[in-house]
Amino acid sequence: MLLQVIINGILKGGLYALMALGMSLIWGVMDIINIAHGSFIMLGAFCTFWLFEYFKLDPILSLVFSISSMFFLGYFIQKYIINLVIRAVIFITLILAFGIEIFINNFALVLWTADVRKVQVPYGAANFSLGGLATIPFMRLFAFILAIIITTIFFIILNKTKLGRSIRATAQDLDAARLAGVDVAKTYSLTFGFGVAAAGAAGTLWSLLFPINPMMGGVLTLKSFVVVIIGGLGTMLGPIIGGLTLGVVEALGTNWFGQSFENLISFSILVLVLIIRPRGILGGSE
Amino acid sequence: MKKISVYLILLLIAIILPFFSNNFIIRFVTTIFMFGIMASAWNIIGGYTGYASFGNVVFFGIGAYITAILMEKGGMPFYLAFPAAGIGAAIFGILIGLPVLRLRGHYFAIATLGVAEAVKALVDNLEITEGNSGIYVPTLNLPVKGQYYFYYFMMLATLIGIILTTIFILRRKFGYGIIAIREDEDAANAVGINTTLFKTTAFALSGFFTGLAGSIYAYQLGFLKPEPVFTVQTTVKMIVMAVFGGIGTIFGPLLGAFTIEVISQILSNYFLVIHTLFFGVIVILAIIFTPQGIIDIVTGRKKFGMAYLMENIRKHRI
Amino acid sequence: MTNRVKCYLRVYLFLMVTLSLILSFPIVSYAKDVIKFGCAIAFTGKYSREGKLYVDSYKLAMEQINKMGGIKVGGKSYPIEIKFYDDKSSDSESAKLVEKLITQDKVDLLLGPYTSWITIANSLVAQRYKIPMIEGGGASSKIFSRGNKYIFGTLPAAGQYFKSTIEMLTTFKPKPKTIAILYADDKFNIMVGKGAKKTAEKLGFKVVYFEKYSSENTDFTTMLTKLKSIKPDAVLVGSHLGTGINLLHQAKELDVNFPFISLTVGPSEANFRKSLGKDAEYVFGVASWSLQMNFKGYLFKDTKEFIKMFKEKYGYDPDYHNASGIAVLAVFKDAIQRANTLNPEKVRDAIAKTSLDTIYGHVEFNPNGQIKGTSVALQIQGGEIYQVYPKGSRKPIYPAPPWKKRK
Repeated sequence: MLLQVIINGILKGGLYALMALGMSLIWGVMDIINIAHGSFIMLGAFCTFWLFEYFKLDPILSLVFSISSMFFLGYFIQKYIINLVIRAVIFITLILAFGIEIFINNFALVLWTADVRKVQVPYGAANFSLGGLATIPFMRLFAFILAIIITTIFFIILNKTKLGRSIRATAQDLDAARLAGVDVAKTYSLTFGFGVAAAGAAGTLWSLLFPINPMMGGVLTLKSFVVVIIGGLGTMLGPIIGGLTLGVVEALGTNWFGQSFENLISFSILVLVLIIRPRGILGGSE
Repeated sequence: MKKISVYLILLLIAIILPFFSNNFIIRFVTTIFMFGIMASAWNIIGGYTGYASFGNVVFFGIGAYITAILMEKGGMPFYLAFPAAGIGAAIFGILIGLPVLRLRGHYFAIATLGVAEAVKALVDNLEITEGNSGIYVPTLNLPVKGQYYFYYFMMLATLIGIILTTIFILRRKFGYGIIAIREDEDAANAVGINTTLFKTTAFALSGFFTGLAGSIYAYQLGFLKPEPVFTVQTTVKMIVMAVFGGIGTIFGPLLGAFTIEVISQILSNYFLVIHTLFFGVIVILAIIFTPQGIIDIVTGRKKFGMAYLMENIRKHRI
Repeated sequence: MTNRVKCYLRVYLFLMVTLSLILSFPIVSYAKDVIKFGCAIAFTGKYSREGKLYVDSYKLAMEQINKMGGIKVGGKSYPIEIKFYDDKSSDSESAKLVEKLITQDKVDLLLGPYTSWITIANSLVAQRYKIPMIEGGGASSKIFSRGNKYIFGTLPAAGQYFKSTIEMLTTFKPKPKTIAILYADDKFNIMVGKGAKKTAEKLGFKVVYFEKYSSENTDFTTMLTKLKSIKPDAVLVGSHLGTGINLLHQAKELDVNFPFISLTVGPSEANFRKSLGKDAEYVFGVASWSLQMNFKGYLFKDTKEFIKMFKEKYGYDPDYHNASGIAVLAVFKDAIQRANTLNPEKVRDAIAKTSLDTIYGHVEFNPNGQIKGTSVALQIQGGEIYQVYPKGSRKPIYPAPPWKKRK
């Protein structure tokens, strides 16, 4: 049974990693805590839901749509809104992101009401048995693999392309990057776009596994914080490590203490990690 | 001198207002005072000391729950539970502040947010707080009008308390100290300011008043549940109010609380569903165009106009 | 102060004072010949979905009452009006708005909000002003535990929710022996869980697993893994719509089979069946009311007519929330007419003596203000929800086939 619990934790960790990936990227490069992250996940989920509902489009195919539409949304939000206050004191951007969150959530609420919805696909709850020892849900495994694939893509973009070099340069020193001829504003918009696109991908998978509604974002944002902090900023491996750690610890913790302790466990970890190792497990020293 | 007379007139209006208004207006203004207290308290740590706490609501919740537990389980009267709530919140501020205030910038913000969420989850699971099922607070045994006068003047007194405290500390070494920390902490340390002591005191002070506000809130509402008193939304509301009014100013946060509450009340009066949508838009516009707060405009220090709005944008964009 | 300063101060103060004045006067001035009801309920936020169920019901009941000529007081008939405010799913906001309804809109009587804890905050204000409130959206006995004379509820006590279900279990062959109880940590479901445990033990079942989970949780894999190894004969869940869907979906993902599972909130709602599709089959539910019931009504001819009218107007199947909302206004109409006055004290006393047939069933209140009566057991069969106990239109199917054997 413990094996099953740990497997549950690892698979959930994959989902967490995917959720936190975008937030980690935006935070690491632009030093913006995107409080609206959960709302973007929600939009991604609804994008998948409506494509499925009206065009019977397979949710896995609709990944393409949710990722690309969320990319453009993120790109333009950064370009025309966040960019205006990017150099103000830190909590200005925080509050701005919060305003965006209120707006998106309530816009969705007005459009789609607070009804609980779910994408109904035959393979949604498919599973296979691991030699009778444990049961592996197929979609969670898929989420896990997808998290790794997207992380790898991000890794390649950041490390092997010209765009990636400008993103990294901007993250390290904004003014120096600008002097070196990097179009900083554009880099920021692209980064924000990538981050939101990753949230969109997480939303698609979320809609396959869980019921969705316009108010679901807040909890996901908080969970993403924890993952980002545990994993540490500045490396693409951070969210994966953070996600897996949180997933397993939560699974074991709820196994021993009870289900209602899940949030207490994850937020205590958040505070402890911050106090002991502010830069996260993988992060360098201050 | 004229400045002081303006404040005295405003104070006089605040004192006589309840005798000429219905109970809803009294309650509404009480809520404005409450947010005024919380925004001003946030201003001490976030505005003057420069540590953007994203978990100040934890003091509010702790104050409210201390009041509820002492009165409901301990049978204590309110005049004991009220100071206990403030002191309890302040002590919590010291205990949490010592490790957490070592963090800076976003890390501090997220750590305080984490503390608030962890305490919420803890209260959810404790026996003495009756967990998520909520706890009653004994009600005040007065006629209806008397009850509202009581809450109103308690809030008003606390509000005056925090504003006087802010004015007081700003004229002492402590005030210069925390502002020095905001401007450059390492330099402040170098010139011999005990930054840890100053930061923690500012945090505890902020907690003390927020705890008092929570205590009155609990007594007025009569029933508590962890989710609404520990929600991050309340923290954000405090910050939005402080920013909207003007951070690092004495009356800015109160002005912000007043303006935002009135606006959101009117919006929800006219638009049953989409008022929150408008609220989001207001937050976005306020942050983009007046990150310095409206206090500059109201007191005439800055001239309001297109030029002022564009100046802010030019300063902060890339 | 410079002139400019004064100018700005004046403009700002003028603006704010005007706004405050707008705020302090009710926007709609009512004519005096209507009976005014007030209701602060969730239009936005967490509970806006459930809030809408009640708003829909209240509006339909209002139309129906006005079609019938209104409420008769002192030989004259008055139409009714309901003033709604959005409480943003927050208790302090809701209490503040009830205050506004009473002192500014001068409503005569109050309708309840959704969910127990917001109801408590509201009922305390109602008590302060001694204005009766009937609520259809809170079942926790905590609402009624403080001797508040001015609050009445039309949902049966949470502790009794699973009573009929557990009684039904004793009739099954082979008789189930072990029961697992899971419950969300909100007021309502804690009462449900504790009550179910007591009843189950009294009727000779062994409660092998008794666990609380957080209402915010979306992940049940740990709990399900435990259940898989315990293998209880029956599972009772104090749930919400979202958690109920999650639990069943993840049970299928992890191949955890329940011969019998029953949820509190969820199965009776159309949303639940739509979200889970075929996976909702065989799931049991509890409700104080079901679509198959047929009662002689007070505002409507009978339950069937109500369901037909409701569906025509709103396009979805009503569930017990809706029916309970109708009962609220039915009780008010009846009580006001018996009291023959709008005096809140007298109306309150009349409500306490209610004995009325509504489309929701027979309504009578306990001395503490909560309705007498228990819930019935329902089961989803062939995509529809049927009452299966006591004496339902269909027989309960037990045990449910495991996931892998279903088509």
